[in-house]
Amino acid sequence: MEIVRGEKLSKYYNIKLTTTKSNTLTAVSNVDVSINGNEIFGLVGESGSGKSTLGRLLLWLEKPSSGTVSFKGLDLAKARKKEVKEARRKMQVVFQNPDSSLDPRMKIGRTLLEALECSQYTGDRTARIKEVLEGVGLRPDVLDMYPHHLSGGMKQRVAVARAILAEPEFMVLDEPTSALDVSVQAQILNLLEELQRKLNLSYLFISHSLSIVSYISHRVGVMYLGKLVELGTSEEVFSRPLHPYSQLLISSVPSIYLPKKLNIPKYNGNHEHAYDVARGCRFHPRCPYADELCRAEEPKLSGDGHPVACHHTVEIEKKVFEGNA
Amino acid sequence: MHQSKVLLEVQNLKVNYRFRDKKIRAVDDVSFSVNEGDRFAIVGESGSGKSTLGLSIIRLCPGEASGSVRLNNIDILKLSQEELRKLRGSDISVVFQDPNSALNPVLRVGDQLVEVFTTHGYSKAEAYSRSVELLETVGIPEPEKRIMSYPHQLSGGMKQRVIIAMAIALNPKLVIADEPTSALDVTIQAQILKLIKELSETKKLSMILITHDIGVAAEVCNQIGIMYAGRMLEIGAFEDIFHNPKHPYTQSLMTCVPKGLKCVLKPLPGSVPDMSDLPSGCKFHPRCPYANGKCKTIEPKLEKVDGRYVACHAVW
Repeated sequence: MEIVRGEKLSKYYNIKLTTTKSNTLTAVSNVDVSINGNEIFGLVGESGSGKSTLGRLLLWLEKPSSGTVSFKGLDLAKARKKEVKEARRKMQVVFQNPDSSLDPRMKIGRTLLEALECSQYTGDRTARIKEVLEGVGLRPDVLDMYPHHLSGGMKQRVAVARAILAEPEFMVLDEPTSALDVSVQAQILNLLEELQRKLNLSYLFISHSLSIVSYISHRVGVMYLGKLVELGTSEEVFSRPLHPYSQLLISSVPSIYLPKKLNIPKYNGNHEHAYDVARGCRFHPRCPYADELCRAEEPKLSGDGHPVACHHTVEIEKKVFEGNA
Repeated sequence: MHQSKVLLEVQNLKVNYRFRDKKIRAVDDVSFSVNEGDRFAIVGESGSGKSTLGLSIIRLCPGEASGSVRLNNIDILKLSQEELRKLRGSDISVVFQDPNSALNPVLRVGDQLVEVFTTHGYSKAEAYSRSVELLETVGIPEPEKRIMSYPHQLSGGMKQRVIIAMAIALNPKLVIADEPTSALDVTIQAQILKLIKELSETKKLSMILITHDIGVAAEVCNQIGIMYAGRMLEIGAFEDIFHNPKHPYTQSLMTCVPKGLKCVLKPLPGSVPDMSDLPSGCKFHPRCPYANGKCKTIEPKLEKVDGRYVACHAVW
């Protein structure tokens, strides 16, 4: 069952250069995405590809420039205020850096109580908070502490507990482990996985780390300059990436994390800026396979099951995987 | 493997910081050596002392260092400021993590690159032509044009290439790279790591690569030292340690990063200890699944096991 759906989502920002000049930055451009119940949907891409913006749009933290977001069939732009409020309670978020997402002057107990007050919980509040704390692997004595008393991993656990207290059905995890050390990162990943199973949650898991996304996600989307360029199960995208950008990304990961046998040519240039996106396929300036068609016409995300936004999927698949199968 | 000459030998290095009347020993009794042509990775979590160790080798660290750091039998810790200035850049150079803060934003990259040569006695004209050459070596297209750019006109990866160009400008014997790719995207990281490895091979540079990411170390290095709480816990050839880690901490490091699609993460309990309040005995014992009574009281020393050095009582 589908829980969150974004249709034709776009988000533009006006960046003021001087008082008279400004530049339009396309953070997300015409993206269709849907996330099912009980699903971990991973979103990968380099910095500036619009991953976080897409997450914020789905959470209704930011209004899209065009397109619609619906939560369990409810179009959030057309819904009544009360309905939106209720929907947003069911959509929670955990940010990358707990130092900036937790109030440094609030004891953990108050931070968590505030989150609980937003939910419609009517039973014993202290008992509920303690139960959730235990669920994220913290002892009740942290309730009397301030964030600076806790280690990075513990703070991230508090941030997760705060999100869980609102009894969400959908959570956006925006780089939840990027600020943590590897040994702690694994603890948090296991915790998130366990919570997802126990509470039947859906996640949008945003990360620049492909190995983590491949580990935790059921389905994966690859973003490049505001566009979804490939969509498929974790297995499909990571074992048989079809878009040339996905192939570049995956072959760039240190080989101990993702064993891969991709036979790829040299790519040009670096990640471009979202200010002036190339005409046609936005990846064409970097793509070794680009031809006239790519420069003229933007490819659509098409194909069943494992859709790819590329004009030359079939040829590229042959070139990259032939002889390696 | 053939026996090559020892280039850098660090012996019993200790580095202390003073912090609000407290003395913190960020690096405690570390000894290791880097042979000519080696690429040595120092891997550890944040606060393990890896950067302090790396930067103390060239005395760029504000802490008080004791012990000895010998480069071709010259003790760097005993050099005068004047001698040190000559050594930096020409014998040892550094690549820092964040190219934005390592380059001066108000000077053209060319001026900064030329300066490396002129301070070491080159004429301006020669410095310029060598700078252009260097930019080409590190893979910057149109070097004559790029040499006139300001740092903000270059992308992160380009800036890091400029930094690397500066580091290799005077053909040093040793380059210390402190998290050289942590601020970069994964595709750029792959390019930079490839460049670092190629340069080290063609120019016969030795390297020390400081990183938290064992995957980065795997791409570049042939030797590795695992740090924890200011100590080296395991030192040896990368292949040996990666495929057959002996220290329980190294073993757990290998199982708490996702590898491939179907893997199981086995995280360590707890977190990195507070350096101002370290446990007794082996610093890893509170998190160690094999800890026994001896581990709680006596700190293990590095001992040779199976071709590498391990500091653990429980190793067999």
